[in-house]
Amino acid sequence: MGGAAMSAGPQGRSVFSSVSTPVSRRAFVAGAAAVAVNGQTLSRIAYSEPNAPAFLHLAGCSAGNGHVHTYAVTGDRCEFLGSTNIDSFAAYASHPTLPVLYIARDCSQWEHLPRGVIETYRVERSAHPLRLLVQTPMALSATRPRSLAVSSCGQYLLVSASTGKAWNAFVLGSDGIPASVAIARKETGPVLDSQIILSPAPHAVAFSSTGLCAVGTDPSTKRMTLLHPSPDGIAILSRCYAPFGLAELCPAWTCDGRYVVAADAHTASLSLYAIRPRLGDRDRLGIHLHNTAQTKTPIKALLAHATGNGVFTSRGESKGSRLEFWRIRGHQLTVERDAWVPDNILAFEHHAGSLWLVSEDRLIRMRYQDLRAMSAVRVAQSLEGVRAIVTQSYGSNLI
Amino acid sequence: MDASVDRKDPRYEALVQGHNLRFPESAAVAPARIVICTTSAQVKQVLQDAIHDGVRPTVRSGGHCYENFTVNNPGGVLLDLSLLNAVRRDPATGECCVLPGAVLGDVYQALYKREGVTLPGGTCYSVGAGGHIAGGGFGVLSRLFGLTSDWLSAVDILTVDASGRVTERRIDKKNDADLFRACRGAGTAGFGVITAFYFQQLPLAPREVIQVDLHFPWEAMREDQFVSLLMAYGDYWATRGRDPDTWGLFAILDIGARSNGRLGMYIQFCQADGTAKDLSVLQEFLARFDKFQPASHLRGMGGGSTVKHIGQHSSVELSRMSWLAAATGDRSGSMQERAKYKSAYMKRNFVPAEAQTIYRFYSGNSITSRSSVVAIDSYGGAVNRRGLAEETAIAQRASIMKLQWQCYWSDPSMDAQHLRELDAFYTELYSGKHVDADHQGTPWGDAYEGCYMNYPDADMLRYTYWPELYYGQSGLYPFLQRVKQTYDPNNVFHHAMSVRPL
Repeated sequence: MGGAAMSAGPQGRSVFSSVSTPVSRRAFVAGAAAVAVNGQTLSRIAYSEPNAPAFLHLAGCSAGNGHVHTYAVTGDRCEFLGSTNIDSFAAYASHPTLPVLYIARDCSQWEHLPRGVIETYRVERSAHPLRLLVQTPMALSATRPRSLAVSSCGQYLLVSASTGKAWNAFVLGSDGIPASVAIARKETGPVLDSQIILSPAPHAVAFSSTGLCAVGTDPSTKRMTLLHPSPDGIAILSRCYAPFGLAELCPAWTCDGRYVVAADAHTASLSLYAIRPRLGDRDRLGIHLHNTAQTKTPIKALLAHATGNGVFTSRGESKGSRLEFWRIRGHQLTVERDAWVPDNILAFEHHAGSLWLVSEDRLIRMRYQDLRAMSAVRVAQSLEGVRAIVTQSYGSNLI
Repeated sequence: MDASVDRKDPRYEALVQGHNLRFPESAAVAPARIVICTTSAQVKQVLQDAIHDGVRPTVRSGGHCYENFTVNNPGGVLLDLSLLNAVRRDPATGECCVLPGAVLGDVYQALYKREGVTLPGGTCYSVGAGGHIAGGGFGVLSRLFGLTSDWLSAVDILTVDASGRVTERRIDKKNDADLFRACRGAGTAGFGVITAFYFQQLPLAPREVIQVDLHFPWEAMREDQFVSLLMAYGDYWATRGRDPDTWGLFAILDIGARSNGRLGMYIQFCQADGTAKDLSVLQEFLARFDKFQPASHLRGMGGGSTVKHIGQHSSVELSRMSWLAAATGDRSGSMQERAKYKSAYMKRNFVPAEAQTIYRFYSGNSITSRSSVVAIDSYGGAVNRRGLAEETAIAQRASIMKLQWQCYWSDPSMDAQHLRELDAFYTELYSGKHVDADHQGTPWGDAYEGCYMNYPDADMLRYTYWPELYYGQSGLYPFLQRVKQTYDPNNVFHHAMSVRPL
């Protein structure tokens, strides 16, 4: 296995850089060095420019204690900044343009009332990289937040409350601070033909990159819901039943806002949902299941392509993971390219030409265009319990 | 057509506030709309629309909620039932029906003038029937007749099923019996919207009552005298006050700041037959306080006559008047102020430590002591009849006194100080050897039965056992949670102290 060179960076902080590795069973991931990442369920990572500076946050819980490790990454260089304790980490989202991180805490009660709480942090390049700006309670009875999403314009923060059976939206100020009072939408369950009443449990939310629409998933009632927040409330534009269920993964919007791809729960498959004006009401968007593509094994991670009309997926295969890029052509999902890595990939994110993948023990950087490995970054801190990753770019004018 | 009042409507500012001006805490947390409903069909439609729109509905009758349960509803819809206020009787069945928007004073008038009956409800004329009856309904005649909710025979209620459909229900001991039991004392705790109360039987209103207003010389009273007064009062209810022939006697010992000279006792008496011919029970009670040299004050309401009670140390004037004049003559209690309330039930007399704590607080010079009172109501009697705890959702059936703290002020900048000082006083009162070691700061132990949910106090939420404080320790709260799961599975109806879903 190849090793990593270590040098002392500014202020004595450890800075690691990658080196090439000899061919081995991991030769596919050329240049990758083993990294002690004991992650569990990890989610998205994001970078903005190939070598532009970015923050990398690894978040999770261990023995009931939540934590976020923050790094400053520039190209292949990864500098550990510091760790922040986050009690009961549940979900996160980063502001699209500001160095602000939102974290939802997995609570059913906050300050003696049944409600979740969102914490807003300023991200700084310092030994204490996450500075708590404000704690914002969710609506009364909106408990156990599961997912956060920020609109691409930075105007709204959307939250799902699973046991609270509600969506909450917060208007964001120009500084990224959420309004102190949530806008709430309470869900009730549908009645199915078999007269089984399903109890709502809002789970994942994702905003379109082209507007203020968001899609929310509810694996309990098998509903995909198109939401539109405004200061007057959260409107439901349309709903769609997911016949194959909904996996507990965040769905992915295509960059043109015309499709949403979601992993199914009951079968190894991906479902493609079209977003288009509703029949008889052209001013209102609807969501419709278009078709479903079978995969050989269940999808474990899902990510929209930044510019192309498709999604990346990761699924388990032969004691490793199969990475696939699915292109949408003629309203169908088709695998355009794929690669296999000898790792259990738990999450990935893209950054202008790079795809970063996190496995249980490695952090790998790959080329976007052809899914070929580029390098890996060694992380020195113990990442036991890590289950979420978020990154956000920063420039000198933001810090 | 119901009236829908949104933020742009000139009526909004007047209608959004109830009697406690602390709420809504800000414009941001106020409801987006207030809908004035005048029929139960309108209530159903408005509720269904709210469910469809995914907004939270809250409900208000008279607007006397002590906490923020109705108007802290950001973006939601407030159903105002104040005009759903009829009081009627079915001539075929004899069943009386009171709608939730009727205020108590009007209810007493209507029931008495038409039927000669009454509800044993509260003293405040403008309190709405909706919250009052659903949460128990305690008042001057409760020792004689029990709580108002004890007399309920049926309730009309709108619930929301799992699919979000509003269902109208007429519930009683045979139909949705568990929900009916929940509505007899915990009806405001988050099950649905009550649109009518039914009473197959109601007690005959007394023909006449004796009223007494005593004032004690607070300014000159030493601590030991104060303690003696308090304990004389509590001792009566713990001993003689348990006898059925005293159940027509009701008193409120009202303690305020010494600097305001506020130390008094309001008393109302009648016999079980509704007359006040034999005053021996009353005179026996008054004799206990003679040594404290009270002065009396005639309220001057509704005509009647006066009677003198002459003791060894003092002479007191008693007013004899019709019960109707006593029940409806005082129309105060409608003012809007900033307020905070607390409560406690007591199963036995005060211990000296409690009396001393109360003395020190109200002898002190804090602004909160000058702005507050603690009213110590007599309790027990018919309220404590066997079996009522199992039939209703009021667990407190062994108490002899019920305490209510009330603090009033007008300056919003004083909110934090008054809340802090009142809470500190209450916590100190219930700290010490007289309170269970694991429940310091709360009325928990052999001497207490917790708190009254119709005097809700959000400060109690900081104790994980707050449900047991309000609903007792005999399984009532888990029962209410099961009812909640059945009839409000989506937790549509909720507030800061509603029953938590399972």
